[in-house]
Amino acid sequence: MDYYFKCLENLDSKTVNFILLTVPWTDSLIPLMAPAALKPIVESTNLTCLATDLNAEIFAKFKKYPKLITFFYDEKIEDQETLDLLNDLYSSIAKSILTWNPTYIGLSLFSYASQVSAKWIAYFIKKLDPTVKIVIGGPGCLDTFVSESSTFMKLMLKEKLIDFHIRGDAEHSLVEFINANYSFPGINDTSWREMSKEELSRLPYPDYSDYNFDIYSSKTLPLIGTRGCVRKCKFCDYIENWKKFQWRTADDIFAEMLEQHKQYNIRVFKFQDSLVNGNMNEFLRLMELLAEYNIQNPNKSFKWGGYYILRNVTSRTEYEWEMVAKSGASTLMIGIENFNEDIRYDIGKKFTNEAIDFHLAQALKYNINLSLLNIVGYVTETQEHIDFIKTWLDKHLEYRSLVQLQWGAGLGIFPNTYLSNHQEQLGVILKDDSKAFDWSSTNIETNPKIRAKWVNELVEYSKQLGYPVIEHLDNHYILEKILSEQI
Amino acid sequence: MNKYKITITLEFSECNGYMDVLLNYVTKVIPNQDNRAIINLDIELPAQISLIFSNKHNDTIVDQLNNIIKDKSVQIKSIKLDSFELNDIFLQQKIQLKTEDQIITTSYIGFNGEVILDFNQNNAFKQVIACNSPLMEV
Repeated sequence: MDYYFKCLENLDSKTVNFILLTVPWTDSLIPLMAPAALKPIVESTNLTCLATDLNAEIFAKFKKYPKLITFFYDEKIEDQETLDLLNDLYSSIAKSILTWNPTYIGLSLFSYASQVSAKWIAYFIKKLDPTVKIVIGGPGCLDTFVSESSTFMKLMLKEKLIDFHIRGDAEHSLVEFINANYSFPGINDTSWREMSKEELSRLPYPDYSDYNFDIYSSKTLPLIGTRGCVRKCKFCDYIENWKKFQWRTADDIFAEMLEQHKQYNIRVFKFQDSLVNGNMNEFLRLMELLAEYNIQNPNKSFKWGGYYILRNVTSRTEYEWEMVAKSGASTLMIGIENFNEDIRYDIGKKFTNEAIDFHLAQALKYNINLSLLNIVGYVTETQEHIDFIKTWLDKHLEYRSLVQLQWGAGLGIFPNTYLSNHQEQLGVILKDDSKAFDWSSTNIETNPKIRAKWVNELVEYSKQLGYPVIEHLDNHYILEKILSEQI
Repeated sequence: MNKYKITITLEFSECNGYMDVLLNYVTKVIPNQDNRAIINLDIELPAQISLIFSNKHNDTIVDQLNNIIKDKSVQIKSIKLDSFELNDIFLQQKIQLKTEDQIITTSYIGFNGEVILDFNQNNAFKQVIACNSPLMEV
C-alpha cells in the first residue's frame, strides 16, 4: 500500500534542486521551522527548493499508534502488521520525494527520535536512486544534544546512506555546502561556528509556502528571536550548544511577524527560542510594538507564546506583565524547574517562592496561561521535597484554570552540563554518559525508579486536584522504560 | 529493489583441524590466515541460506577441571544485510543449529549440524527489523 503525503504531492511533475524535510518523530502541535528557515537560504543560491514539514503529516496520521512510536525510539516491532505499515510508510516517502527528481535531499533531525526514520528514509531513497545527494542536520544527529561525536552520523556516512552532514547553525553552512566549500566548519565535522548577532539579524524570514497549515491542531507560526540563554542552569545542555546569548532587535522581529501575517494570514506566533525575555530592553520594545498594533487592529490582533523566564520582583514587574498582556501573550512556558526554592537556587534559577506567587497573581489578573515546566528528582531532591511540592499544589488551587503542569520524565544528566562535569562533587553516579536517566547518588536515596515513581505520583496528585497536566508521549515512553527496568 | 547484499563473518577455532562448512549445499567455506571467513552473497528476498557444519569429532581439549582449553568450532560473528548489522538478539537468540538429535539456539557452532538462516521477509528493511526485534519470529 502506498501512503499519500500532501506535503510531497507533485501533480505537475515538477523538478526541484533541493528538498528539505523534517523526519519523524517529533511530538509537536505546531510547525517545525528548520526547512522553512533554510528554504530562502537555498534559493539565495539560485537553486529551487521544496521545504516542508513531513513530520507533521506523519504525526497527524499516526499519533494514536503507539507501536510506531516504540519503533521510532527503539527500532523494534512486535508484529508483522506494524512492520508492513512501516515498510509502506518509508517506501512511500522515498517514492514521493523522488517524484521531484531532486539533486539534494536535506533531512532535518529535531531529536534523536528522528534517527531511525532518517536512516530508513535515506536507505529507501538510495536504493531507488543512488545518485541523489543526501545531507542530514539538526541536533538529532548527535548521540546526545551536545555530544562532540555522532555514532549515527559516522555510521550513515560509512554505509553511504548519506553523503554529508551539517552540524550547528546551517543558515551559513548550507550556502557553503551548496558552493562545494566542504571544509567550512560544521560540514562533515562536529565542530562548527555559531552565527554572530549580525548574521542572525541579516537572515531572511522563514518561508512556509510549502507547509500545509491545515494539518496542525494549532495554526501557529514559529519564529526565533534569540539564540543561547542568559542563564547557566546546571542541568542545561542547550547552553553548551549556543554558548553566547544572541538576539534580534524587537523591530526586526515585529517586522517578521507583520510580513508572515501578510503571507499566511496567521496571527498566532510561537517563539521557539529558549527565552523571549533575555534582553529586557528589546523584549519590552517588542511588547510595546505588539500592544500598539493590537490596539490599532482589534479584529486582527496578534497572539504569541514562548519560553519566558521569571525574575525576582522589581518596581518594573507589574508594568512588564501589563505589557505582556497587551501584546497578546496567550501561553507562556516557564521553566520553574522545581517549587522548592532551595533546589531552584541550586539549579541556578534564583527567584523566590514569593516571586512565583507574585507572577502567578499577575498572570491571573491578565488571564495569561502559563505552562510550568518542572524537573523531578534533582540531585538534591528527596521525598520531603516531593511532599512540599504537593503542599504547594494544595495551596495554589486558585491557579488551576491558569496553569498547565509538565512534570517531564525525571532529571537526565547530559554530557557537558554542569551536573555531568561535577558528578563526583555532587555525589552523582552516572554509569554511562549515553544513559542520562540512569544515575544514582551517594548523598541521597535516589535512582531512576524512585524518580519515575515521583513523577507519576505528582502527575496523579496534580490531576486529582484538578490541575491540567501535559503528558508528552516521549516522556511517557521514557517513564515506562524506567519502571520496567529497561533504563 | 529486491536484490540485497549479505555478508556473513565466521570465526573458526582449530583443534585437530577445522570444521568443514558448506554454504548452500555447494560452496565450501575456507578460513583465511586469521581463522576467519567472510561470505558475501547477492540474494533476493525472501531467501534461505544453509550452512552445514561437519568434521567435528571428539575435537575438544579440556583441563583437569573440565574447562575447555581448545575446541574445534565456528562462531557466527556477524551478519550484515545491505548496510545493516543484525544485532545480538538475532545472533544469540534466533540462530538454530539442527544436529542429528537436537535443535540448539546458538551462534557458537560446536557440533555437526545445519544452520538455516530463514530470511522470510521480502526486503532488507523488513528483514533487518524482524531479525533485530526480540518478539518477532524469524
